[in-house]
Amino acid sequence: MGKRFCRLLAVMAVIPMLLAGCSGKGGEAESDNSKAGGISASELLDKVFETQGEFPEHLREDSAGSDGKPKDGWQETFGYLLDIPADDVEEFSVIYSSETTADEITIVKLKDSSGGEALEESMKKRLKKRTSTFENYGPEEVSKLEKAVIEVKGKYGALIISSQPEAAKKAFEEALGQ
Amino acid sequence: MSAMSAKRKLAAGICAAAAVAVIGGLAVSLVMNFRMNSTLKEVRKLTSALSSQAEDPEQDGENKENSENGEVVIGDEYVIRDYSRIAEAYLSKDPSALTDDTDKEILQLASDLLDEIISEGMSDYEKELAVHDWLAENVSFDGDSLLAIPAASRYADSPYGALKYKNAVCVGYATTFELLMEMLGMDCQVIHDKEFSHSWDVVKLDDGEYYLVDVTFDSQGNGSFTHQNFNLNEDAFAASHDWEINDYPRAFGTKYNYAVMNCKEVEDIYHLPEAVDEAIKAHQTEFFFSVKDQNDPDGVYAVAAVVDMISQRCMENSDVYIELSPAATDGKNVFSLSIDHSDDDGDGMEVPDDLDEDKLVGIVDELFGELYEDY
Repeated sequence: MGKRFCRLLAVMAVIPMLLAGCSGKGGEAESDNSKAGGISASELLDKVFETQGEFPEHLREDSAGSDGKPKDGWQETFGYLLDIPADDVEEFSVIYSSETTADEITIVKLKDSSGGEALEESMKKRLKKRTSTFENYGPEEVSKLEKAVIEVKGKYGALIISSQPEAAKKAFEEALGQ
Repeated sequence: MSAMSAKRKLAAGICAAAAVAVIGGLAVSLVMNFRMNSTLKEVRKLTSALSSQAEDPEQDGENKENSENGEVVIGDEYVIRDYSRIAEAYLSKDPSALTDDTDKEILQLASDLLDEIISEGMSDYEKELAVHDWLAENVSFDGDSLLAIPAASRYADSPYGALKYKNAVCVGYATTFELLMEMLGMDCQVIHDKEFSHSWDVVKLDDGEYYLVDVTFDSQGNGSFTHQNFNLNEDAFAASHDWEINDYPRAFGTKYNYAVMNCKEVEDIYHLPEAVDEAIKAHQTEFFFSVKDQNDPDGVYAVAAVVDMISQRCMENSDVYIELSPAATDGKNVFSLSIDHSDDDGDGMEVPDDLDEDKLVGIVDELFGELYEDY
């Protein structure tokens, strides 16, 4: 009984390892997160943006190129968005309105989750400034800004300003396996 | 990128409120806020904010600078810089004092502009008006500045951008206006709001009084502009601007208030609709008025109510938008009405071909009244 039980336990322990191996490449969010380092900011933004059917004409910036390597000068672009040290950031991606509206989805992947609180504070500060700007120059956007979502989960943070923030938030959480 | 010609257009609906505050030894002030769709609650918040400023005159402007090197940064990007060296070079007729090439170019551009728009014998007010009107007409608000990551408009916050590229954000308008005033020997200063999101100017004229000017808000794009924010006193200006009032010269002057100088006195409240109708039919974009029997604090409500009635009908039956704002409260209530003729040809938007336009017009006319052909 004891040996058989132990053998059973050994088999049961192996099964998850086998399953991880079988799920392999091209897997869904859960497998992305199981890769070393987790899902990229760029991929996370793609998943979130898929939910945004009403997003206006837009531009996109990614800190990493298509080869996954950091682009030159990405820190300066990042500096327009948030005031945490760029050294704390592994990667960021943003999609933002190219018209005079406030729509923006910024995804930040930190090097370490310990910077999560500072990231959240920085996003709140940015939201406040954007709201103040649009109060003067585009008051019709203020209600959208007031419904904006800021979510920080582990080393990932999202600032979502759009007409569908809840759908974006849900996609963000699901992509992180939550 | 869409222009900002309709940056502060608000829907119909009007609310007025008045608050009286005694500030130390200063005269009683009346604050009015007429904004389409504002609620009384929002207006009371505004008047309460002004009252608390009045009650705390010892505020020390602790937010005057907001960057590590002591600069004032607006909108997280645009820096209010000092260009007085350029004015000094102009007044001393010694451009060699300038070593920076951009400064030299600004000096040349500004000098050429003043040669063009300023004539011998002009009063300080006339010079100021000429500068305001040129900037408001010829310089555009840089819409890129609203982008999450602004385009590389490096000079939008300086006289270089305004004078060379005719492109500016509020800091560009304000610093250029300040530079030109200084070149004309006038005392002028840039002011920024408490949130570090907007800037404008305060200028001293020959009556010894200071006046508030917001060229950014007066510039409507595409060459059109108003004087709704030209030479207001602080009571009227506070309806739409919020700043550390004791950090800057106090603006109480009304003699050179544009609305006061161009004010039509309407016989009584019952003649106000006719006066507004005439201004609209004459295709005026601004109309300044007072109403003879409505110069007490309650008169504000009466005027607001009548303009609201007119506004509702304009909205329903035409493409004309009107917006009321306070202009001055020195002895009488002076109002500023901006008139936006959005669709002068009266055709309206095109109805898609697959819809029955005649049927739609019939339904809309029955519910909302026929389009006023006169407008």
